[in-house]
Amino acid sequence: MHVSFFSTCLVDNIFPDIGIDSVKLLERLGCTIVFNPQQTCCGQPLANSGYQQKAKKSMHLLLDTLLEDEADYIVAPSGSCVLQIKEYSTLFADDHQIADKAGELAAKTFELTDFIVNVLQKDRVESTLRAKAVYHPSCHMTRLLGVKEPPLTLLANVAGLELVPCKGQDKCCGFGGTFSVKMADLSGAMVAEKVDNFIATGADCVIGCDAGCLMNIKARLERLNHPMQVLHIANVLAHS
Amino acid sequence: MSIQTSDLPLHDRINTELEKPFMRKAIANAQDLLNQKREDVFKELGNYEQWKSQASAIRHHVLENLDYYLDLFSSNAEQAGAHVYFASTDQEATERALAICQAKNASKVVKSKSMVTEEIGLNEVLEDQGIEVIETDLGEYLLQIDNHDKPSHIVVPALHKNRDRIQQVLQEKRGYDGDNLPENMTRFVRHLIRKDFLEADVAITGCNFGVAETGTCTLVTNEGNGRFVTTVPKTQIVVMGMERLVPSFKELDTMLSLLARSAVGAKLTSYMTLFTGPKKPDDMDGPEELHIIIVDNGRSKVLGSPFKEVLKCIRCGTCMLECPAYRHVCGHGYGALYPGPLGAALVPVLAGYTPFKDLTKICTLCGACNEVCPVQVPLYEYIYEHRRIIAEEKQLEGRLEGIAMGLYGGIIGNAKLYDMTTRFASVANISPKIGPLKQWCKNRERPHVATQRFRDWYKITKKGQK
Amino acid sequence: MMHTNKKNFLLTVSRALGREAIADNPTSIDLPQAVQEEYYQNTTAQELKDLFIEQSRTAGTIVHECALASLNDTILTVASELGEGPILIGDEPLLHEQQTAAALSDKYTHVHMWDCARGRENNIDTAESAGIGITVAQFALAETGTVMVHSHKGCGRAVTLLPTTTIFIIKETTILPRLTQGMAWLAEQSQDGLPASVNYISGASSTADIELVRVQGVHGPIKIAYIIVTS
Repeated sequence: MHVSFFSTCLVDNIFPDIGIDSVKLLERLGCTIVFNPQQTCCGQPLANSGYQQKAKKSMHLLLDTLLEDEADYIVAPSGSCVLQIKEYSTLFADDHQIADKAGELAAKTFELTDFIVNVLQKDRVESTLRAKAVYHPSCHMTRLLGVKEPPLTLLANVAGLELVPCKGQDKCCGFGGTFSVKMADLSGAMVAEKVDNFIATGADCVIGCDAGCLMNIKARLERLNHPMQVLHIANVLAHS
Repeated sequence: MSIQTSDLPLHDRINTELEKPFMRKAIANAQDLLNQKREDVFKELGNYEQWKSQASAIRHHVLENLDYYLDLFSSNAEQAGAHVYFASTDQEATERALAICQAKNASKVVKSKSMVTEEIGLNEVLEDQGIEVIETDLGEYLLQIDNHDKPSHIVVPALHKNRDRIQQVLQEKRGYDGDNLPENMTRFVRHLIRKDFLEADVAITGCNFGVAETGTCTLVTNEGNGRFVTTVPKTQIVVMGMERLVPSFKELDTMLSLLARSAVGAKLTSYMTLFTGPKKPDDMDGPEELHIIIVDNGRSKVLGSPFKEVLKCIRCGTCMLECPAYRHVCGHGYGALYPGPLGAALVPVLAGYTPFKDLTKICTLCGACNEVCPVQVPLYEYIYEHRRIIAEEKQLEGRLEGIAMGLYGGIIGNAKLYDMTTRFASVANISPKIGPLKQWCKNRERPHVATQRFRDWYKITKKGQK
Repeated sequence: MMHTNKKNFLLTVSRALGREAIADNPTSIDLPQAVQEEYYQNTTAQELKDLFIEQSRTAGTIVHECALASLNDTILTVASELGEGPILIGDEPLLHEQQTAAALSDKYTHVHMWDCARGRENNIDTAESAGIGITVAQFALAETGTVMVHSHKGCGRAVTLLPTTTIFIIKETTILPRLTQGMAWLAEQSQDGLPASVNYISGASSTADIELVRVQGVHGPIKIAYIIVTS
């Protein structure tokens, strides 16, 4: 199975290990990976701030880049960026040709865990993590993309991993892309409460599926000098 | 009050609220408690999604036929003996209400909780003419006597005040000498307001739902003030937003079945009062005259816009209870009468983008509101679209932001430029904390940019393999 | 002839909806299946009564059951437990038949009946000074522990609002499943004219406006009791 990997800009620049672990994991599961270096960013930071026109150049570029290799699927380790890609057809609704292409891309683009569980049909990936962890369901991925169960299914089958519940578990961490800098005080208050709730669980680590939320959570934990580890689900699943 | 409730700029409002630990804890507790109760009652009811889609379809149908149902409602209300007036603007509505009060030589007016009367600034107009106006909802009353403080939540308006503050206000303004127990303070206010109820010349109420087929108005309360205002005063004025209709009692069942469950996590409120016309000749109580003022005040503009579904809203406040941003800044942070996701979706199109462009910023686009709205208003989509209109169509965000965003768009729109820029992005790890980084770092450490990007690793590794 | 002001107002609405004239008829209402019809299909009368009692008690309402023969005794017991006189009684056929006013007069000095011959102020004053109001509910709703009363010649709105305590008499046979049936009753009544005021009451008046602490008794009764008359 040929998979074109969309790393997302945050993973490319801030958390390359998430990309590396995703690629290793997918290869272990029998996929052949291509990474097209023409890819940049899905344009979400601009679009969510209201600047859709200014985002369209990057969206065009990503459309062409991800379809270029004619892979069977496109996989990204981020529900939020996948959601953005799936919205391209609406954003380009006034241009049928592009909208059709966007539709084609949307149909074969999957978030990493959704891909493993629902395309590769694997509930377990033979991985081990001896730790007590709290899971953070990212808003875009669970509510808007609708991918709720796959990460939980996969995490439930990680050897040695104990998942603990947390107060306000499905509440937003306060990242919100440009919200985190435009509304920094409010965003900071939100992540502070979120992280306090994580810490109260006594977990060793927090696991999530979106680099944006994880960056936010990690930055708060570091401000508190707290040893809780922040892991992307790819980091967990790649290690047996 | 009017739609705008604060003169402070956005960040001042937000920071003022963030520095109120009691308020934040109270709102957080209210969210947690009421959301749990709501989940429980809906679980018990079952068929959550079917109920919501039915309620949404009813409200959608009413909006699609609003001219027809307004005609039907007003004809039937008149048939039942009510006087019906149509007010296109806030001013027309307040003038009408004032004229009715003056015709009755009213010196004292009692009100039950109503958002639309606050929207049109009715109290101020009446008070300016020397008419005493008493808010009878306990929460609204406590705000009113505390120098007209503003509501922090549309259902539980005084949630931001703790019992000590309330005790102090009652002492200073009403001579209360009891303790700070909610029960005792409530009892004290009960006696005060009861006197007002008995003395008032005119009662003013809102209307949760008007039933078009019969001209009936519905008032939903827990405290019983909705009943009092329809029992003792001889003249009653109902002020209703023009979209607040259902076709018949059959649809009212659906709406009422969802309203209390959504608003306060209860199956029903203590009272649902349905009144049709003034009292009958052999009724010994109830209003002798019933006046219904139907208000547009921007609603027809919303109806003709791509945002018309926001008029489906039944003012339950669930979106606010679910909103993670509202949680920290309450209604006051928004500076608008309608706060939270509803406010962000409604107010810019109801009352103008320029004064209210900042409402949509108090949102992480997390989508939690969409999931719980009992009438399926696409709040997320509307807020998203408002942001586009504000930034690109109306260009209200300032040149600097536009330039910065354009620059960013230019970089990510060009693979070579992106590659060049990000190759050296790790200098940000030692750059001074200015601009967005400074903002980010108020409560967090700076994110560490990798010296070897993912694409660099991929290039090296895959070359080695080949 | 439609008033100009109304016409202009409605036309603005019509135009917002993309038409040049006020719609003569509504579009057909395309509702998903009426979900409420699925509820309480096979529930027995006994089950409805049990549910009604359970829901009412959860809301803090005191519930008693009695046979018709012991109604007055039960009212006396409940009244003495919950409050003090004076007592105000709705002029209802059931209470007439049972001579409830006379029975209560043995124990209470002031027992009044809502009386349309005595005029507005008089009736309201009596209600305001009464400690206990008693009337018969038109029907009850099991799902929510609700009773329905409406204004009429024999019983005003004040009877169940102004006294500190209200006692509702409910005939066992009038316990309906849920609001759906309550609304169906209104739809039926609207054929011959609705009462001016219809009230669905689910417990005592209450508030949670101070720190979300529930307090019973704000503007309406502080205590509520139901007496179910078995048949």
